[in-house]
Amino acid sequence: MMPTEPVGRTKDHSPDLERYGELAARLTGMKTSYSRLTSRRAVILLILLGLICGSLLLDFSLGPAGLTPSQLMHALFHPSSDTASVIVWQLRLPYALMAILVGLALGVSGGEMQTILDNPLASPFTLGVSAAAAFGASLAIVLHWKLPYVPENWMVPIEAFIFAVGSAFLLELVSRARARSTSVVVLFGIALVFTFHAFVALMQFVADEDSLQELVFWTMGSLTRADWDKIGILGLGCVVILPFTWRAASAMTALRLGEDRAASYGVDVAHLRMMSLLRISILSALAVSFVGTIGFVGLVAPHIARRLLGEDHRYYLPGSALCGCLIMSLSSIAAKNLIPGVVIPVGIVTALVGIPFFLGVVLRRRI
Amino acid sequence: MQPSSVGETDALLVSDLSVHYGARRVIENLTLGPIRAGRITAVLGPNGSGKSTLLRAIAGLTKSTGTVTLGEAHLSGMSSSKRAELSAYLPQTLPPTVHLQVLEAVMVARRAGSMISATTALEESAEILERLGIGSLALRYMDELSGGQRQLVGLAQALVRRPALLLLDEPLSALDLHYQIAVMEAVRHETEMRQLVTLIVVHDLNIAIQRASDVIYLKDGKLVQQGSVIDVTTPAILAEIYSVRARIELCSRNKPHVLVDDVVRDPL
Repeated sequence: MMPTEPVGRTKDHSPDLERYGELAARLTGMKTSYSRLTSRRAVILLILLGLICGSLLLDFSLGPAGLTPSQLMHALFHPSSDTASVIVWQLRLPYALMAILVGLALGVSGGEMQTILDNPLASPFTLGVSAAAAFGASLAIVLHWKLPYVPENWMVPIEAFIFAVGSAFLLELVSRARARSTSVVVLFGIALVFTFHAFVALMQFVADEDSLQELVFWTMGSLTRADWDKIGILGLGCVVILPFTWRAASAMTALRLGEDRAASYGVDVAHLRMMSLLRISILSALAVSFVGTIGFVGLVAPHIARRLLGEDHRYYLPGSALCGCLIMSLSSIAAKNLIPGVVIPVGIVTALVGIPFFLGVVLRRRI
Repeated sequence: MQPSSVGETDALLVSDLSVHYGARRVIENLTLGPIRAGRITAVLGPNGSGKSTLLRAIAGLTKSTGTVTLGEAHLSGMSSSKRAELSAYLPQTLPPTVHLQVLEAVMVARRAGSMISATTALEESAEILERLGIGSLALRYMDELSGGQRQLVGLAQALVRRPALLLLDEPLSALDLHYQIAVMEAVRHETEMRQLVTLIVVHDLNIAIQRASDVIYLKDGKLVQQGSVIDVTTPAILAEIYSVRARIELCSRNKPHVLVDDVVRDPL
């Protein structure tokens, strides 16, 4: 390492040997600080994981049935056909786990989306994936559209999924056609939101009373639709997709330095963006099609992760996923316990928490 | 990683380069004389003359036809990742206000598209920051820095990749006087020390004439003049390129300065 003439404001004119010493000390200092930084981030991730475990336990323990911890534990480890077992295995556990998985899917999707579209307001909810899912669900609920080989009780989530994936692919097509302009993709996403909201409103207008009630309830987003099959599918989706997300993390950090910069470092930006949208579309579509419209988790989680962990995506993306889990799990607790004896749809809770945050992001940005 | 095929005396050759955006030809059949290593070559010309496009085409960021070679390396036939190992491009915009520490931001640039270990990337990044005199910023976040500081980080990101070819697109445009000189000095130092082929787009004629060795004058996507900056920068060429009446005078330290008196009402 050659000590050479520095050119910034920190000019130094001390003799060479002394400068060697100083330089070596500064380099060692940088290395120590960097390893301290990475350890701190690992600790933050572990703390988040701990908080999620705590929240999961609380979500599992609290509920309108008023079961004591010992009853819960007994039902958990000795399942039978009694009420406690049914509550634990068919309600509490699926709801609590679904909250975690939906939060994970939406958190990581939002985190990736904000990076590849270079927009802090991007999320599956704000760019129309949830609205498309709602329209798909409305076709099944109101018009009773049937798909061949699909069991009756899967019709709503499957039609919601088809439309959610479809909308995400439309975003992808636009981003491919307009590879250099992310703002076009964001505006297109906003146009999708309005379009699908108009379609859903039309469906509500023609719906009969029962269908209308069901549709409105669906668009509120609720964990009460969780069951073990859905948990299995969403869990499998996460297990299959997340390793690819992890593999793209470094390239995505490079993309945060600017598209031209990333491209000049040899990152294939168009491919990175396309593969990422594919992952986002599948994960977010699975999440919203199973539980309905859950807003703002995918928007808020990445912002918290960015503040806590910086934007090295090897930490930021897991952080965004974990923040999503935690927000959903806490929202699930709130949904069950805010009004005694009533389970509020969790989508309402996330929106109530998310909207002030969303406004905060908008107002803090210089537009 | 300094490729063996590019030695100290290797030059950049551009021949028959054409770039078009849709139906509009921005650069047409541009052939340049050898652009030598170890010297700064300024690219000058009015707005829309194709300066930035030329750099982007050489970097492989814009589709082009024709050939670009660096020494024995045939850049125009290479994949973008291979090309990225040889050349570094600094875009016109400043590095974004991303929530990354400066050291990390440079490490990311070092590691992108390469398999080097985190420790090596860390050492090399720390070294380049020290060399550019911004070691004290290493642990600051990018979104806390001034424009000039961010541009020096941008330069560190380009240099840490150890390119043989350095392409700088208006690196001084957003900077105050101090950082304009600081960045140019850093570029000069690195160009000479590492024998880089350095192409830099600048707008300030005096910076070009005093700090670059060679110059390429472009207008409407065509080469007007190329050569040693002192030799080819004449009142006639400035009138042709910029439509201004200008003088080139020596100051008390015997350095050339460009003084512009007026615009040419009826361009030549």
